Amino acid sequence: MAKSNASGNLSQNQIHFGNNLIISTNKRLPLFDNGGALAYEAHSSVSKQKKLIAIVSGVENFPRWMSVPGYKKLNDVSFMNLVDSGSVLWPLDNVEKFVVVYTGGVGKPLVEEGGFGRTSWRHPEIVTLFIEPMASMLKDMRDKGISHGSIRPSNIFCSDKDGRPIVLGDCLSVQAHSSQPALFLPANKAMADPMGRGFGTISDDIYAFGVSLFLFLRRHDELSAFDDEEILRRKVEFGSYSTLIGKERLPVSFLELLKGVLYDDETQRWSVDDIFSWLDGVSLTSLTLPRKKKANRPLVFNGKKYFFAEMLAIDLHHNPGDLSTLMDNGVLDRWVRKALDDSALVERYEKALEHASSFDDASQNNDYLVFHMGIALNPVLPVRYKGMCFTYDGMGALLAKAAYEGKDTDVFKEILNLNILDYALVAENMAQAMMLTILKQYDACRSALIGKKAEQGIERCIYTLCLDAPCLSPKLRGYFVYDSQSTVLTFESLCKKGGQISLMMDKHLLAFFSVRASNLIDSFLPDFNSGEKDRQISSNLHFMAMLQRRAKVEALPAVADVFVGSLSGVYKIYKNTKTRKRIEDDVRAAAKDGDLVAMSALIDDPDALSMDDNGFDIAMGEYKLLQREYDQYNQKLANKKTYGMTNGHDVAATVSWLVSTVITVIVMLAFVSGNRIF
Amino acid sequence: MAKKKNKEKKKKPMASSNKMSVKGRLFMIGFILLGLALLPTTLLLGVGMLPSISAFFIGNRRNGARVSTIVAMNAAGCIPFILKLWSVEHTFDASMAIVMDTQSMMVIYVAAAFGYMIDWSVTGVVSSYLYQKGVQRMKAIRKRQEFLISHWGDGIAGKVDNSEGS
Repeated sequence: MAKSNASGNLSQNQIHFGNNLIISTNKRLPLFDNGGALAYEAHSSVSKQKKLIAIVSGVENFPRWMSVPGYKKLNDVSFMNLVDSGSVLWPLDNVEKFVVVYTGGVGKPLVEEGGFGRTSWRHPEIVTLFIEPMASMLKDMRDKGISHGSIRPSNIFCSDKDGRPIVLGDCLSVQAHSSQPALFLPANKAMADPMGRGFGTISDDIYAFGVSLFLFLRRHDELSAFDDEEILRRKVEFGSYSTLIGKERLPVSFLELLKGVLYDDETQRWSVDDIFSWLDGVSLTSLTLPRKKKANRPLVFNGKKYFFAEMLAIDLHHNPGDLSTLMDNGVLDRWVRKALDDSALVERYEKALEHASSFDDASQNNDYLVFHMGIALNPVLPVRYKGMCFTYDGMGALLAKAAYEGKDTDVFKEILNLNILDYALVAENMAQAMMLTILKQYDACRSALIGKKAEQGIERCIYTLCLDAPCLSPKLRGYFVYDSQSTVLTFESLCKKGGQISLMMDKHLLAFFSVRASNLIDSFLPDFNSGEKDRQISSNLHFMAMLQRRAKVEALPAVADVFVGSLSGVYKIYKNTKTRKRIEDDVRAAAKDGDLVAMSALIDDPDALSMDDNGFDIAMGEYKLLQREYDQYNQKLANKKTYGMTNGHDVAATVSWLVSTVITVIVMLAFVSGNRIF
Repeated sequence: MAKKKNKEKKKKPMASSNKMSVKGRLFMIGFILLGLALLPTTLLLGVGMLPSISAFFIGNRRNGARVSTIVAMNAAGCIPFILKLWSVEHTFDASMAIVMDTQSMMVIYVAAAFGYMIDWSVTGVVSSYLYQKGVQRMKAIRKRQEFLISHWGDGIAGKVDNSEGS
């Protein structure tokens, strides 16, 4: 995923992207927009004839860069062909954005964006031209483990020239479901904030397919009379199938399919295999539409009468004070226990009361009460807390967005600490093993909140709960940093501008890599947390070097220059001054080439360090021996008069004996020769 | 009881070291017999070697080298007169004549004095030389230590290196 830049022989309104793509920033393709992600015309620098579509998305949309590898694995021809993706400096806003480039020539959307009330596509062969290719795509997505999250008629394309019946549009440039109109979502997702709708599932895609199919099949337009909220209320009150079909007369065979794919209970909604069985003509067990328990008398809440607990749950947040009053005077209790008379609901209600009362000061936290009562009255609904609405897996993106926008994140800490996500998850009909995995994630987040380490804190929660969040470090504002390459290139750019220090990794970056690439950073974390500046500098250099190697970026001279200026303390690891000087010179030479890998290897060369340590030990031993000898001399030489006397006497004795021997020999020779001396 | 036995055991080797060995005793007896047999020579040596004997008893007995120096020169002074005694007639009178001869005794004692002088001068020179050598060695040690510190830092002497960074 190559980063790119504007340069050279391009016109003012063109930028390079990747190795050989050019995006025209003045040629919009609004038909291919996906929510906040805008489409532009692009082409290959090799062949201008090959038209491409570049969809440009800012950090605020949290494009699904983590799903790009999964998307590439999709085999079905009806998906848009992904050419390239990555971040680029977008000249119109002068910030980096994530770009997804698809092959163009896919025709026009079946329906223009927002035109759901007037669907014009009425193809008689809808099974072969729409249902079969969609079923095939859904199967492919299920097999590859990704969800689309943007299936709607305005994102499905058809071209007479293309040869493919339909082509499903982009899904990578925005969070799943975030750009999806409420009509195409089940009630629990539709009610949530666009960013709080979670990761998306294949079941949600099947639902969106069902709504799209219905729009193509219908002959009357009853929905345009209702706004999104009314449709949502009707979906909750009557169910999605009944809300959509209404008085529409459709072929019976399609009704069976629609009833299956629009079924509100996700666990009973038709699967991809069921759709294929339907296509094969296999008659499936017909699903019965659930009937909601109606109370024998209404409950007046916030000036409105309610007969259904599910409907009351939707509106609880409008007047938490009234809810508190209804609970205090026992009206709600009597209504739940006697007017509704639903044992399962009563059980949930009692649990909710228990949970709400466990909060120390429940009377002052009506939002907590609303949340628990909402779950009790309608467990399908998303979490609603302090003005936010999100699914159990949707809080991460909301948290990431709040962090990106610099908003206070205390409410998210509160949500985690009050186990709100846990309660919401338990209300889901989910396999226990999967549920446990997610609960462990929530526990990890709570641990991170109280943790004091550099990679912990709310920052870690962001990246744990929002898989597609790029690094949101304040120092990287204006950049889209999501992998090793974008990290090193961004820091190179920042260092060129100046004002950077060698402690490059802040809490966001550490948390980001600790979650996304723990195998890369884990070994350095003790150094990052050491509190010793030199160790931290050296671990920053080692980690940046590792990123440079992974990203295969040859030179980062500006980053290297920043490090060179602050390594003086790091060299102290080498005790020998000559070695230290040599290493320092070598590091400077490597820095000139922008080679962080070489710099990293030099400051922590195991062989050189081993030799240095051994040399130091030997030298230290020698120093100690010398000191001992010096002390001995010092002691002996303190008395100059006696020093060396013993040796002197010995030498004198030897000299004396030699002289004596010579004299004796001379005397004896003289005596033998007859010459008497005395 | 046991302690007493231990003390006795410890005392035994001390006692044996004080006592002369059998060989020593035999040598001593042989030496005395020889001295009696060669009484004129013994007389001459007894008087002639007086400086050595006095050096042995007056000086530090542990400093055997000094006595040895004097003995060597003292003996060298006695040798010509012993030869003279042996060559003329080995009698008590001849021995007494030499002993009584001032010139002869002067020669012997001057030789012994020369031994004293050798000891004094050589010892002075040697000890002075060794002292200077020691001073030089200390300087060399300091230089080498400074070299090691310059190459490895103060840490080598067990001090914290604060010379750089921070």
